Amino acid sequence: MATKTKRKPTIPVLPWPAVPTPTQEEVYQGESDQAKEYALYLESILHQSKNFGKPEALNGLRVLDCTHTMIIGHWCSSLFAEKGAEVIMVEPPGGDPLRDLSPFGREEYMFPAKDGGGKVGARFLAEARSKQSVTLDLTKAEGREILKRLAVHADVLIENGPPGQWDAWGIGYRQLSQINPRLVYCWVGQLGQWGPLKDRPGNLDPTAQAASGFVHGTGFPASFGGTPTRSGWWMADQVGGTTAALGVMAALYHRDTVSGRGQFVESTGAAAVIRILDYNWAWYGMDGSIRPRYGNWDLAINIYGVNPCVDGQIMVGGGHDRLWYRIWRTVGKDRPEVEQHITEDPGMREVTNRLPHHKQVETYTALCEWLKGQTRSDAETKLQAEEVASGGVSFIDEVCEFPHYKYHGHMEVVDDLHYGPVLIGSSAFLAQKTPGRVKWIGRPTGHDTEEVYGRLLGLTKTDLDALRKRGVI
Amino acid sequence: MADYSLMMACPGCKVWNYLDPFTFWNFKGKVKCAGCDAVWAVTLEHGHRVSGPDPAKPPHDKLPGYAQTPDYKKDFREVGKVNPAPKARADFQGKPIPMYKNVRGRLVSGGPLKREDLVGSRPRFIMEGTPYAPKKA
Amino acid sequence: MAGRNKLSFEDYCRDVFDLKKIFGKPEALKGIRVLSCTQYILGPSAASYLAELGAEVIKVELPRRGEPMRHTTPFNEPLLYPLSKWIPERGTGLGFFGANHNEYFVSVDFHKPEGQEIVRSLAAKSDVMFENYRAGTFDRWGIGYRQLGKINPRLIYHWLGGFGGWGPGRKRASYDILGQAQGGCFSITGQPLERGGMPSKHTIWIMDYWGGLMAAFQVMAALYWRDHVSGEGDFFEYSQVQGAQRHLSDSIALYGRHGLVSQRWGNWDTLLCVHGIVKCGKSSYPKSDNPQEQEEGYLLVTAHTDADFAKLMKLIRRPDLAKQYAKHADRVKAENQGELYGAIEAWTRDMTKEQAAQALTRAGILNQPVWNSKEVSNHPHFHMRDELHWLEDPTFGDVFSQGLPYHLSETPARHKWALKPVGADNEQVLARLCGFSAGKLKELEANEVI
Repeated sequence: MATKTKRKPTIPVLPWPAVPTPTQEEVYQGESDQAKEYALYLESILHQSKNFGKPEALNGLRVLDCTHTMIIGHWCSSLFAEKGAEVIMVEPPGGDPLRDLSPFGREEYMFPAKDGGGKVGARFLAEARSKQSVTLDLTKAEGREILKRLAVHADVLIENGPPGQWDAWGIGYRQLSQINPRLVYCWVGQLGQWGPLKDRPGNLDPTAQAASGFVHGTGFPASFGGTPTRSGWWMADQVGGTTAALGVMAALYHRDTVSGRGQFVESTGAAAVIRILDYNWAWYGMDGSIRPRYGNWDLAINIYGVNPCVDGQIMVGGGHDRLWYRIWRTVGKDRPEVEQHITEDPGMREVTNRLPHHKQVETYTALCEWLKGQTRSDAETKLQAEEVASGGVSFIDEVCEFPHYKYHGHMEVVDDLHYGPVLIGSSAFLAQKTPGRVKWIGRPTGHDTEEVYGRLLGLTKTDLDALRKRGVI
Repeated sequence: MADYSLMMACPGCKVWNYLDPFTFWNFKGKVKCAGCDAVWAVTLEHGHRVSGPDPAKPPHDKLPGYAQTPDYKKDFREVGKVNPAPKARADFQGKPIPMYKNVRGRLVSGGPLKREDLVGSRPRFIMEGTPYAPKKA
Repeated sequence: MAGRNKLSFEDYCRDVFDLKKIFGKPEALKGIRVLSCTQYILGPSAASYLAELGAEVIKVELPRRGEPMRHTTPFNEPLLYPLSKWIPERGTGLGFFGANHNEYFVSVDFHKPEGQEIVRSLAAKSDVMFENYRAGTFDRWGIGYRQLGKINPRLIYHWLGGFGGWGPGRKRASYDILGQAQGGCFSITGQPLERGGMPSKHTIWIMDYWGGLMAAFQVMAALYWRDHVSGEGDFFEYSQVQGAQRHLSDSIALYGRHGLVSQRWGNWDTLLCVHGIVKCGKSSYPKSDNPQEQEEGYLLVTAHTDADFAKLMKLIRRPDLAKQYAKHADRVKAENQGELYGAIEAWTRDMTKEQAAQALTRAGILNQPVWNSKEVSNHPHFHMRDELHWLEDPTFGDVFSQGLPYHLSETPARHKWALKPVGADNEQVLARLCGFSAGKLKELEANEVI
């Protein structure tokens, strides 16, 4: 049944940045030479404009990213790509299914490749940076033979097949390590390739978020009408991809320092999120406490939370007395009766007495009594004048136009050969000598098949045509 | 006395009822005063009180998050008066809970110690594996 | 080795990743020394990930009371005692617990010149230094990279902070949730406005703990470069808010090209349908006295392929929806997702999450119950894999801890202890590395330099 198609609004898209990035003069205006010396020194050694002239820490390493459908493996290989490793994505013929996903299925929000290379969705494109793409059908025996030959030339191989699949195919760690003992082989997934809860084919983020306790602990408490809440992005994949990268890097270091051999690495979203879930486990072990959801407030510090205001939400933080009184003093400049109410309450005098939930209700209700008349910008300005940490909840457009982020290089437009100019989150690896960088945005499916197979395996165009005919690539 | 949007003073008994900003930021309905159980109709939009408190008939829709008398001498935290606090265990203390045995009954150094209880920086009772018995003063 | 090849894959994995064999295997970062002049979570966690890999990590805190994170604990209730041998009546809060495993604890007052001299002496003998004080502070004290890099050209110096040390935001103090808020993470997490929701923070101090992972990876890459290519150290800067933009790179791309501002979508998914978390109306433990267990349950249902979706609609007896939304392109539309999840929740209204999970699994539909921290803590899967474990900590006794976030077959990471009191290793470390005599140590302690 077709729904009536509404005319979609045309959004005029200004080229980024819509507001010019501040200049160095503007940023350091009014500061003495001595005061700004250190910051300018940092700019001289870290500014991203110099990145491409500097060496790359992982130059010479070769990574085969054979993962698909999830982000965890692509995130992991992105970190290697940013640091200078050569990363080759080995995709099923037809491409990684992740390429085809777009918010709400909207094709108009995809990124077409020039020269008819096909459209790709933003989630895939964001982690295709600086990587090449070849196709290979591993369900065919011939495809697996090619993989074995590729593995000879790789330092790292990442896969996320169903548990035991690659091993059954004869291209698991047990087999590939015989062909290339120096290979670091990494499996990534949600819960594991072994154990009672090992992954079933098709498990995706937020499976790991739900299984680790993260979802249960996020969101507003039931008494506020809240429910367990997942992250707005595939966060377990990103954290798990980072721990995978750390494990692989440790294996590479050990290989080249001591053993000359690779090893089998496994990292899951669940293990990664469990590792970083603060104090859930120690707390449970001590007295059986089960960590409750606490919305945007904090179980351990008051004031430390995000609350509504005129034009959105704002974070205010300051647990110790010094900051507590400064916050109320700021409030008192506009609403002296609210400051008085809080500071006169004997039950708020001791820092530890402010922590129980009901006193937090009193605290934040009073704070919101003030915030209901403040925009994020008003509140931030007034609080920061008293040196209180505070900042509004920003939306993506505000984030992309934020003067500090533009100046500090958090986003950049990469003018890509295939996908045109694309705005992305830059590499977060700032360094004096070996910074991370993004060379290109991505490649259409199989774009580098000929180049890579020719270079690494000596396959000619005739060979490749035949393979293509048989559906192997 | 003054009465603010989210900090609602009950017209009857004058108790401050704190309407927490998540439940009440945009709210149209009835709230029960924790002090005297009177039910009041209020409307809030973006944290501002647009109407009320006007007398209303039970049942209420929501309870306040917390309440106190204007002289701060009495407050209300009980279930049925105010919204329940999120809890990690059956009780809530909000201050350090000394424990020398953990959830599975083994020794853990979870309570205050004295200098004579230590060997260097380590609790002696953990090193010796015997339950903690503070020396009498 | 040949014997291993005959094992089933499951048994092979259980063998190579066997937690009982971990301490018999070498450590990847043997011989690497790390100095951690850090506080809160961002800096300390970075060092702790290296400590898990076998680096000798020396944590440097201010004397007596240590760093502020020791004074943070949920509800003020659980603490591990003593805080230090000088203050045994107080404890270390569990906020400190997740970011300091395996480390050696030294107290040094680096506001004092003698303290700075000690740091200089330690850095001269270290491979890595992490520091997350306000940018420029250590430089002013003569223990920044400009100074230490001259004494020790092989030093890898990693600064971490909120906004970085340069640019308009260089002076701003930052906490994790400020990073989440200003970075954009809140704006896409939580129930949408239309369903009465508000932007929501993540349970974890994610900008901090994950930022530490990024820094640890960067340091590992730097060690690799130093020891196999250049012989030189390097200086790194990581800012929390930049991490947020790195996470949100796809939303940024959509904004840049199409002007889209991504919004909250609650427990559903913007890319796939059905792939969301639904409510199961009944509590799994209605008689429990713990309010967390009294709540109703939640469950992730994954059935976004056409075949799985058909199975799901058959199970919940909605052939009308099976027909209407047979194509993924129709299911995934924003205006249609609500109807589907509503239908699933009508089916789960009278079930516990376990009952729903069982029915779904029997029908071959992927699902994952939303577990609370007790359910996770007691699941054998995580214990077997050493991802959660009881630790017999030499100082504090029997503690339950997160385990290791990845497995390595030959050089596995491991936990030796959870944490120590402030300054617990002063004598041992300072005598060994700085050559201080007993008399000198006493003098430094008396002057509160250590």
